[in-house]
Amino acid sequence: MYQYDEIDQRLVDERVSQFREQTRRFLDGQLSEEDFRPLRLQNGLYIQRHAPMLRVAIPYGVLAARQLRRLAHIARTYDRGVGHFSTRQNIQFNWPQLAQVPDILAELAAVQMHAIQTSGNCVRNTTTDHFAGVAADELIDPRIYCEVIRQWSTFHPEFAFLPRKFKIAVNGALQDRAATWVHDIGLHAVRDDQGQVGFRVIVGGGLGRTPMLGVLVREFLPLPHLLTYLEAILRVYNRYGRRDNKQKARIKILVKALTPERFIREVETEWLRWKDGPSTLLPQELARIEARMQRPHYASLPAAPSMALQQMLAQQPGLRRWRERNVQAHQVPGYAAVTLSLKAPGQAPGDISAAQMDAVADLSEQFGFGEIRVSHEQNLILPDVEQEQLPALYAALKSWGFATPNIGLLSNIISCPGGDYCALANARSIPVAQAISQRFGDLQRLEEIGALDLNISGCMNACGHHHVGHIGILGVDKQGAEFYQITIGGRQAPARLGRVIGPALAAEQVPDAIERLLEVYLEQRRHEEELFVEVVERIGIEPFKERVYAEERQALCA
Amino acid sequence: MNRTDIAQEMILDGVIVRDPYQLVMSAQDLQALWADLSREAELAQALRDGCGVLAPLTLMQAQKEAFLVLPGRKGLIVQPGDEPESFAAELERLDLIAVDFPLFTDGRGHSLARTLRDHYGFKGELRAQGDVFEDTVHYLARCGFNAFVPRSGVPPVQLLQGFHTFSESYQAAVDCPNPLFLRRILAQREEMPAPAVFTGNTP
Ligand code: SF4
Repeated sequence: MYQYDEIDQRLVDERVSQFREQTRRFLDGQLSEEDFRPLRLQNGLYIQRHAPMLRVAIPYGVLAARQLRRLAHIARTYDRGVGHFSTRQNIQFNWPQLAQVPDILAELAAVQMHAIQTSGNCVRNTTTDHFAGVAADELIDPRIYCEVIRQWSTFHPEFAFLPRKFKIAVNGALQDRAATWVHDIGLHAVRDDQGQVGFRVIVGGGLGRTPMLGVLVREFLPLPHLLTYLEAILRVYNRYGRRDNKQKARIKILVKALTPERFIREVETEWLRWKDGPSTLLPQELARIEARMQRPHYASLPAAPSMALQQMLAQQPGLRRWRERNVQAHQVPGYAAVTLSLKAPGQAPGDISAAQMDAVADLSEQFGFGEIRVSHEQNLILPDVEQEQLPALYAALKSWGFATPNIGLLSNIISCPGGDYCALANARSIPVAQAISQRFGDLQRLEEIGALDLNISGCMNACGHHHVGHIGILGVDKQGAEFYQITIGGRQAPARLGRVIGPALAAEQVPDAIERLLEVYLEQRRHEEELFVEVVERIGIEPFKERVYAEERQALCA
Repeated sequence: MNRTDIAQEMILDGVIVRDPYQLVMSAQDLQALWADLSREAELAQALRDGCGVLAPLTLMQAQKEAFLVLPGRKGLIVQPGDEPESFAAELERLDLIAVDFPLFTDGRGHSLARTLRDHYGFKGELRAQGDVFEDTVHYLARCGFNAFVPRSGVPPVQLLQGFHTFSESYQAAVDCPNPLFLRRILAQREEMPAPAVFTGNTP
């Protein structure tokens, strides 16, 4: 992973000093809450339901073992021994003391980490494919470009006070695992007719209150122009994005208001003013970043599994099932990427204890090069495991509760923290996620249902990405009571937004409603490979709606 | 009208100065100023000697010639949403553009400043006024502002602490048109032969 140089380190240290001073002035009454608020948000600090919440950046989801150990230490020392991985590849601490936050930031800076721009109306942490650098279908390693964007966006003087938050995603592979159609800017690596690699630029996608897919702004942007083009988009947005209404301030609303054609014209005109200027990327810089990323020294291993491994897989159905579900092919022969499920039945999705963090750090060294990935599905990944080591790793993961073979299945629920922590929530998410994962804890049943994404958000802000879940659950407030609206038919790639099936349900009705949805699916699917979403696309939402609300109707008629 | 009590303290190019500009808010103010000028020769001299007149963009647009032919320096107050196109033609005759920040979190003025400096090549005084305090001046300076009027209650000296928050910056801005990566490469190039031309492919 990227190693800071002296300047990277100095800037992060200077940020800690700056925030220490700002916090002191706030606590001394020299800085009003109104002035402090935007400043603390740009350091990831929210005032939440119970206490402040600190969101720490994990740039493009890559962590080193020593960094994860430091996060464990922070969880133990400054929090209640738990961290929560968010859907944007960051980690959140829900119980720090405001006065201690500068110390936490100093602890982070000592391991090349920070909370810079993890909140606020600025360019946020850039996200990418959690299999970046190891995926077999990769055109370019997106981490290099994510780091370019990280540096460019860090303390960008012009774009610190945008109309609203701004999220960029980069995908370097054929398959879109970074949700580029639902970001403010999505960059998707593509090859042109001459075989050169560039980015397809998508602008104005997003979930939240007004979910929409982005607009294709440029089919092919040559890589050197990445930063000048981003600046042009941001400048148009910064000048013309709405500031009078928070709900209409995202770039997607601007793109729609101007019309995509006019928006594109504005961006291209602005870009021509800066194109080929000093911010044009140079190969030396890409090479420098790549060198600082220190690609691991992989051993040359046979691609095929050994006889011994094959035998073990044949004899141990648990191991086999786990390998099918939680183990991913690797670019390098003989290696595999392993997903550690943070979604055991009844677990709060994305939550991890300090002891578990330490354990994962140890495992990443024992079974890899000391690197860990955080996925937007709120799981962890050991990216470089020797395939022959899989049985040993499986045993270790089982003992730590990370081996639930449910990646891609219904119980791999994505969920925001919801009303248990978040001040904006309409309803709690975690108890609903727990109830569902308990109800559908039976692995055989999960396998029978097959691949299914279930996403939960506690409010319209959609941090749990409910619109792109095959089944989405949204917390709503009905006269002060918690209710849940269900959508079906959403998907992440190719991106599609789910549709609401009917009136919101009470929490205890939700698992039953899921049962009904699955009944219809299992009756209607043509074969085992036909996904839940595909059935929804084929037969529409009516049959699902009918079934879920049938009982209610009966009750009304009786 | 009394023009001596409006001079406020501010920062210009890193030092505390008294604002030499006097404010003209309306057509009546402007008329009165011309009347004063015809009576008092020393006033015209004072304007020529470095004082100036500052007026809102709307007044300049309504009274273009009466304003632009005033002796001495002229400045405009613009709002963050104003289009630079609407006064670009007059930039050569202007010595100061003061951008108003109704709230420090309104970032439109940052892009406006950058556009004025880098696209229109404006070399005069670029002033940030309104909700300006020590936590905001670093970014403002990078965007091309060289003058700062602090919000009420903030002594100008307090702003001075804000300029040195960060000792380096990654991205290009008005204060430093070459991004860090380019400066690094240029520094190396002085020691080494020229590198290969960039074709657009990943190395
Ligand atoms: S979706 Fe709503 S409740 Fe959930 S974390 Fe986001 S803001 Fe909070």
